[in-house]
Amino acid sequence: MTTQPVLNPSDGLPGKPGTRRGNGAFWRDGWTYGALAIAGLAALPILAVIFIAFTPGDDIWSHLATTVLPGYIITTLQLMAGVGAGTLLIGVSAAWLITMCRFPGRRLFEWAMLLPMAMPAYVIAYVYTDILEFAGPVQEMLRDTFGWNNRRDYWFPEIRSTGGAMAMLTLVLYPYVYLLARAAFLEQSVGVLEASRSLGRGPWRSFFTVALPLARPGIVIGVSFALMETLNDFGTVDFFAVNTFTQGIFDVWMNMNNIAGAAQLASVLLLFVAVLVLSERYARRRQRFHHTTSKYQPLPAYHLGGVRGGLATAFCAVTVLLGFGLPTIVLLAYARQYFDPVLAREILGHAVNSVQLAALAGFLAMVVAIILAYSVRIKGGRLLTAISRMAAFGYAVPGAVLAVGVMVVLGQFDNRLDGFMRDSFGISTGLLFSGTIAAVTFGYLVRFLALSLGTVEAGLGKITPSMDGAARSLGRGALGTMYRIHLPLMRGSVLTAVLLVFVDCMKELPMTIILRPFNFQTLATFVHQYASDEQLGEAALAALSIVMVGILPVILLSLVIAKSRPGEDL
Amino acid sequence: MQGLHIHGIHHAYGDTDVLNNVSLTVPAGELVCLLGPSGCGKTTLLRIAAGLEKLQAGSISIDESVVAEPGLELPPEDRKIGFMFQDYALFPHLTIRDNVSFGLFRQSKQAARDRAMEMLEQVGLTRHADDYPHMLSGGQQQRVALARALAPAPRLVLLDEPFSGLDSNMRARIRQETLTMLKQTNVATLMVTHDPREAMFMSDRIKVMGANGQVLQSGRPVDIYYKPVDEYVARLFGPVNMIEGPVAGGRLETSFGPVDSEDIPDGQIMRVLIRLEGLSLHYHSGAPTDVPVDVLTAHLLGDSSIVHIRMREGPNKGVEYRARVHGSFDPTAHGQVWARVDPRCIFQYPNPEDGR
Amino acid sequence: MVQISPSFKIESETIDNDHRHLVEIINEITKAIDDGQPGECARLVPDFVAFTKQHFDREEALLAGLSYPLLEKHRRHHISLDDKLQIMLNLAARVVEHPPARDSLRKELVYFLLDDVINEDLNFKKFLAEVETDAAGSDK
Ligand SMILES: Nc1ncnc2c1ncn2[C@@H]1O[C@H](COP(=O)(O)OP(=O)(O)OP(=O)(O)O)[C@@H](O)[C@H]1O
Ligand SMILES: [Fe+2]
Ligand SMILES: [Fe+2]
Ligand SMILES: [Mg+2]
Repeated sequence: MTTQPVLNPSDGLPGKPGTRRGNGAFWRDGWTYGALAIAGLAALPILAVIFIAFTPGDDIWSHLATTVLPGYIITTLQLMAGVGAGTLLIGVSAAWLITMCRFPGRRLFEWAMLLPMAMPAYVIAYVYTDILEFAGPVQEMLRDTFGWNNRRDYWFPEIRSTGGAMAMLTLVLYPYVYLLARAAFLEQSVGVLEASRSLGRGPWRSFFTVALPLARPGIVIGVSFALMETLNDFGTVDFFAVNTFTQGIFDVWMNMNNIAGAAQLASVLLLFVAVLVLSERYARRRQRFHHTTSKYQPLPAYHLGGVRGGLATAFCAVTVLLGFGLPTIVLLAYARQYFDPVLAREILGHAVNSVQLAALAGFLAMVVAIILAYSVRIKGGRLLTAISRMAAFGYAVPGAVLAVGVMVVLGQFDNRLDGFMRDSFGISTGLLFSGTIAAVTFGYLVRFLALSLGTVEAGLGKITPSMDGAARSLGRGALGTMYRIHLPLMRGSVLTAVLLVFVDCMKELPMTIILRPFNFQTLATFVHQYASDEQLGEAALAALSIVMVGILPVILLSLVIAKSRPGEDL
Repeated sequence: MQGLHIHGIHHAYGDTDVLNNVSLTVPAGELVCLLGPSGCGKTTLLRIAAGLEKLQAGSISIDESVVAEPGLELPPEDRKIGFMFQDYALFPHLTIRDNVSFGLFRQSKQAARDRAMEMLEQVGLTRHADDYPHMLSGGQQQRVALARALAPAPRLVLLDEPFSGLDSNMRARIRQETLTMLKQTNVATLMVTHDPREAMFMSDRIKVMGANGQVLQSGRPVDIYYKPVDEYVARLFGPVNMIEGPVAGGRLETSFGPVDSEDIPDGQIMRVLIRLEGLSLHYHSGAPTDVPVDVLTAHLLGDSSIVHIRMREGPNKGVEYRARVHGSFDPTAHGQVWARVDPRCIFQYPNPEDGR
Repeated sequence: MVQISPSFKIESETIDNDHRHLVEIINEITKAIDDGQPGECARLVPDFVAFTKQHFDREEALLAGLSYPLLEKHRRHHISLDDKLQIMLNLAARVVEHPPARDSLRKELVYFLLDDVINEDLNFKKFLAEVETDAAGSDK
């Protein structure tokens, strides 16, 4: 009457022979290990920098500390303060005007304010230097008009200065603040503002006492992003000879050939980054409590007429013009004027390099992001969430720091491999990865993984978990489910992920300069090289190509914006 | 035994206990319903059975083989189950046919296609084979989800509130169709609902769960309805009339007559619950236990009416109660009305506030 | 045919034998129904009920001997099953005249044994196993 005890739960011995525990369990653990490996690789360059910095060796630390370090710190802080204040002012004002007021051209500016994002800071630095330097058209025109002859006859601001760098960076970085402040204003409950006004506070006082404090977390995040980009910038400060940390790292690395010194500087820079990351995280946590409502409500509109409307329009127009319009026009003009088929062919070659490299990085970042996001989805748990956060940390780390880290890591690896191969097989592999495309790609991946991870996570989040359950219970494994259900359903997010990383890689300068193979040019390094030699005309076509590619994500963002306010009139 | 055997499931999310020693048995060909309030862990139990949630304690066997116990966990794809989700979870990028044949990838293309069409024919949707899910109505989507779950001939079907997304007319029809199909396939089915009527209609056996994630009572629908173990289960099926009073001489006097309370000490406060349909109203006194009442109002619901009555005499004189009577009831048409209690619909429990 | 599959075994010879005997009676009842002998079936149900009660007593005595801490709870559970035993007797009284009662009875017997009786007994399976290993340990 009883059946054979094939499987008896009461034995209680783990690992009974004959039971099928392996199959699924292995794969699910495979996901964890994959995520761990990825996060480990991504963290390696940063850890390497810190490790080298704290390794006692020929210590130039005291030397650095007494000579250049104070200057780096002061300059960097000045630059951060200036860019912070500038982006805050422009970004928040624009966001407030555009979300809360009605004035001529508002619809256009809603997305046009994003255009400067397409402009790498170093490109507008070259353009404005060209326009505003002593021999440039502006000063020439002033001299002609007023009959001045030389520098001593008049005062004109020096563009190649810390102040100039602040202006350049502000002009292209304010969109971060604008985007996040705009989102924060949109999320606010109208009722809160109306209550404030009904309690007798005017629109301006309501703005400062209610709307601004409520939007503060979003604004802090935006400013943090802008400042991270400021720390990352190399092209502008290098060209303007402003001695920031990033500039210093390059100097110590390239000119003094001192790895330990560069790593030490990089570690100090990491402290700055840590502060930014912490304030961003903190703001994000607070942001959740600030969501007063998720319901869509039409916002009240302050109609700005007459002079006030004109001023609002002028403010937005001038910002976009300075950050995008003017530089583009100048570049277009130069590109026509200096067009030369031979040069164009050379630039095309660099463009092919850029596109291949960026596409490779974009694709790999997407694959890696899918692995990470998917393991978090199917395994869940705090560990994996933390791992994926860690893997995405590179977005905050300046390219120069990462580049140093990548160099150190790959150099170590190459040397060990070479040694091992020599000892075991008598073959020398030499420097297998250092100074190759692989090194550049690795750097790009570490820095831009966060972009694709965020996009993929958002896409995955829109697919209800019951889809997974349905596919799994119908007999498909985790991989089959991803291939047949998730990937087709989030094709859009996957493409966006590739695109975002692609565009940022096209623009990337500091890592590319340090990590690229000898004699290898991308559009960015080409523009940097020529413009630094005051040959902006020859570089214009290449710079323009970078800007055009940079417009792609702006278009994408505008589409999102257009969708985000369904019932809006006007 | 062919079918599902779950024993001793405990489950907690973080520090919150959700399931508390839940055990159940579903023989092949039978349908068991888990009935319980929102948040009591019904979905969690289904997900554990399916392998979508990690087992924390207990064991699960399907068709005499263990699929989960501490230290062993078969992934969902190896359990041969059909899971029907509350939101149906149809794959929006696949046609109806491809949805139904999704689980048939181990067969040849032609065989899978034939099987999918056979299933679609059973649910009457062959016409829509090439449509996409969003082109179908809610009821049609539900049928596709059922066809998809049954197509691979699972050993066990799990249904999570399968009819909650449908309007009430549609629901009655789809319920019947689903039941017929499940019985035809002779598969073990575990279904989750918080609609007691649905549970009564569909199941061979009901497991009532309480808010603390414990099974309060198991039995045939008729036993759950007529022999609820406690006040909570009794109230699950709708409003009741309540009379409270102390026991004296082994009985509790009410206006409807004495209620036997033999084993209960004198003085203990007892609570008597009478289902609305346990009170019938008559124009003539037909039994000595009938009691005269005043009719206050009557509300016609269609197939029945809710009538408010007031007691004319007895210990509950002047108290108002409600009765559910068949069809319509006109309080003005006749003179004296008499109320009669159906002894099967009267339950008594100790008063929860009475400490003794 | 009902069988006690491994997941329903308590791993105590006395108890498992009793449960197995209950299964045998259920199978006889099922067979009687299938063979069109409802009278035989009506005769077997009281046997089932009687043996169940004996089994409850035996089980309680065994657990009491081992000082099972949750014995009182389990005893109350056994008592609460009286209603179900009564239901089965009622069904048995009707199987001769009402064919639908036969199916109800058969189902109810299976659920009763597997879900109401054995699934609850499984709660002390671990306790019994521990007592046994302790005993084995002290023998040495
Ligand atoms: N992933 C999870 N993490 C934390 N808590 C959860 C999770 N899933 C469910 N819960 C909680 O566990 C409890 C039981 O949830 P479950 O979904 O199983 O309830 P349910 O009985 O299906 O309810 P409903 O009838 O509303 O569907 C709820 O209190 C729920 O909030
Ligand atoms: Fe027993
Ligand atoms: Fe027992
Ligand atoms: Mg649920």
